[in-house]
Amino acid sequence: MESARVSLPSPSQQGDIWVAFLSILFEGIPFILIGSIVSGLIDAYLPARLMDRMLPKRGIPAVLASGLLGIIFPVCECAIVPVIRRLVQKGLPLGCAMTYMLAAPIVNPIVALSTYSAFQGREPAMMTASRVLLGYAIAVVAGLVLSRAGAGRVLQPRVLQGMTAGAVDAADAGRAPGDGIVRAMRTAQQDFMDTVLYFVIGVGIAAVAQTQLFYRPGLQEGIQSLAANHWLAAPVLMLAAFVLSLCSTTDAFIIAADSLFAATAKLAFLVFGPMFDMKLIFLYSTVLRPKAVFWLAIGLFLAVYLATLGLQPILEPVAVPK
Amino acid sequence: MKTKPIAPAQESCGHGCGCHHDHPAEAAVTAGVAADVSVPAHAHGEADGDDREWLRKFLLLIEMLVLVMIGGVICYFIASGRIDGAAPNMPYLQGGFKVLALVGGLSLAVMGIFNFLMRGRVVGCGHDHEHGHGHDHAHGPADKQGHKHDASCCGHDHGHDHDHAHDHAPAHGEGCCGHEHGGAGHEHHHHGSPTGRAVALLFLSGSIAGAALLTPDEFSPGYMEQKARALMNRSSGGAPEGAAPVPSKAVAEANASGSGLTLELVEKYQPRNKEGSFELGVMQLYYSGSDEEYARVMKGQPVETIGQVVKDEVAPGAGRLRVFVLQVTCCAADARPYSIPVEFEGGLPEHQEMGWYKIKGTVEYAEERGVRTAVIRAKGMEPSLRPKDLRATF
Repeated sequence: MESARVSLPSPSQQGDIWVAFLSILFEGIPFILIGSIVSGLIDAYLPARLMDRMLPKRGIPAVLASGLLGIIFPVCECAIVPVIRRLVQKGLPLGCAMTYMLAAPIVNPIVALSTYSAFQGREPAMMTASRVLLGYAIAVVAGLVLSRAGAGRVLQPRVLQGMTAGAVDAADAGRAPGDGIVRAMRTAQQDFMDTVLYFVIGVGIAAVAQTQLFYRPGLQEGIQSLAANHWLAAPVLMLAAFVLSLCSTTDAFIIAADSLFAATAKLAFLVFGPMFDMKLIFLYSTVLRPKAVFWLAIGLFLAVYLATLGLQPILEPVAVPK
Repeated sequence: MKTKPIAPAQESCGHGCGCHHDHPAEAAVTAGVAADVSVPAHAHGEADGDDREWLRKFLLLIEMLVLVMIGGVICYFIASGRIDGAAPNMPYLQGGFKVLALVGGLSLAVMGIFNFLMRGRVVGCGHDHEHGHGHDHAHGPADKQGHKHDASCCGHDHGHDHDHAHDHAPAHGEGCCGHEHGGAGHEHHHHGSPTGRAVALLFLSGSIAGAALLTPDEFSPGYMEQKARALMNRSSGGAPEGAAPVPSKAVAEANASGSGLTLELVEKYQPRNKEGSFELGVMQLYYSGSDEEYARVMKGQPVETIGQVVKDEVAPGAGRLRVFVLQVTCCAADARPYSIPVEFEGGLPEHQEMGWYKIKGTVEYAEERGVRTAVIRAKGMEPSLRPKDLRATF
């Protein structure tokens, strides 16, 4: 502060960008690192083809089960991406991978718990259950659709390359002791660098949008005037979720207490945000082709919108503030 | 994979980790990044005539350095306390996220150093383990020829786009040679040309270092005001952890005695200052309305609070202001304003919008937007330094 710390630049409109940028970066990097280390460990220790052996190639049951993996491996959306990239290369079928990727940030105990506590006093059980179930359902449908489209059309060429090579049994070959961890850390470093690069781009754009655009009085008046609109409240909050790029473990705290928007709009925020936002465009593009990212965005947006619209009669009487 | 006997030694599978060569020479190749563009069949490791090998090695070292740098920046912000921000109550990260960031930052640095120390270690790349693969091959990056391996399964996992190529013409037999060179520092996973990697590294380190150097550690008043107005009291209901208005010990004692919360109990755990007022944070006052019993006890009591003031646009009226603080849930980007109205009898005193003031008065409760809300009937207000950390006075 005013005393003799490091002499800091004085606050400015530009400085706002750096503050927002660093704060999201500091929050997200540990999760990306966790994801990368898990990916490295999978690379070094998980026998390739293991998943092939365990999972039916195209079974709907396999996809349904993948949507629940987040319960066992609870991760948020930044951490899941490098893991998914690795798992796909290790032979996890596309539908399962996409379902896990989309569902894990929502269908997991940490997120359920944070949602529940954020909505304390506002029908927390109903809200948490709707969030988890809707997230699960949409992830499963998206996974099935993407797997139908086929890996060739969906995945980044370089991920595909890795996939054809996925037959590699690095994990079970004889090795000198210590090889595994060295290998895991090398892969983790590569994955971290790949992922964090895109994360930084996404966070940078989100920081600019938030500090320079989103809270402009004119725009905010527009947003607030739409809050009571039956049809547009949910899309408005989905847009907010997209711009804010929050972590799924904490987004509920940001939106739960909002007194302008109705419960279904908040639900749309809580389901859409973890599946798609500004930073995720860039993270997903480490796995998916740009076209697939685009259609995923459109599909998720429509699915979440229509679903929350359909749920309105059930949810609305519940949590609308007076 | 389970390897096809792969070609004669040198050419092995061509790109990559072909691997078998026990030439002593290869053992020497350490830092992992040997590229042999010039020699189609990969004379692995021997750096002969390859001016890109040093570049790859160099980039790999830089990459480790960048890891350490990112980790270092995070650790520095936490160790120096700058993580708590320059403005009161506006940290980059709140509570537990600081711990997580510290662990993350340290781990990043450790990972970079570990990989640096182990850079020379040769790790089985997953096939043919009989041979010590002692070399690394990174395929020649820049030439724009695709590979020429025939079969569907070339079996390596170079995660890069193959527009740069390994030029292993000779190589693969029909099958999978199946290795995934993750090991021995062949950076094949790195897509793109060395130029691309260099640009990426530069961008990454530049933006993070730039942000760390240029950040003022606090938002500009203009942005805070925009945000405060946009979100003013858009939050209602339960207090976040740490902002609960009623001292928990008082509640516990009240429950134990069964007599309900009394002023004496509140005083016991929330002492008055010399002037007889309760010094409460804006957050505490804000949430006091949600606790019926506490509101009943506190009604009419003298209080003091410190916060920023703005014109009351929530419930406009003559002689009214709002005093607010911003509260961060997880990271600074999610800061939200919490405010209560302040009423002055006989008109507003001189003040500056967005200025910090200490406000003295009595607390009353009124309905606002259908919610019981604390209101300060102000007796006066004086400019105040920003409290270094309002969290302490929650």
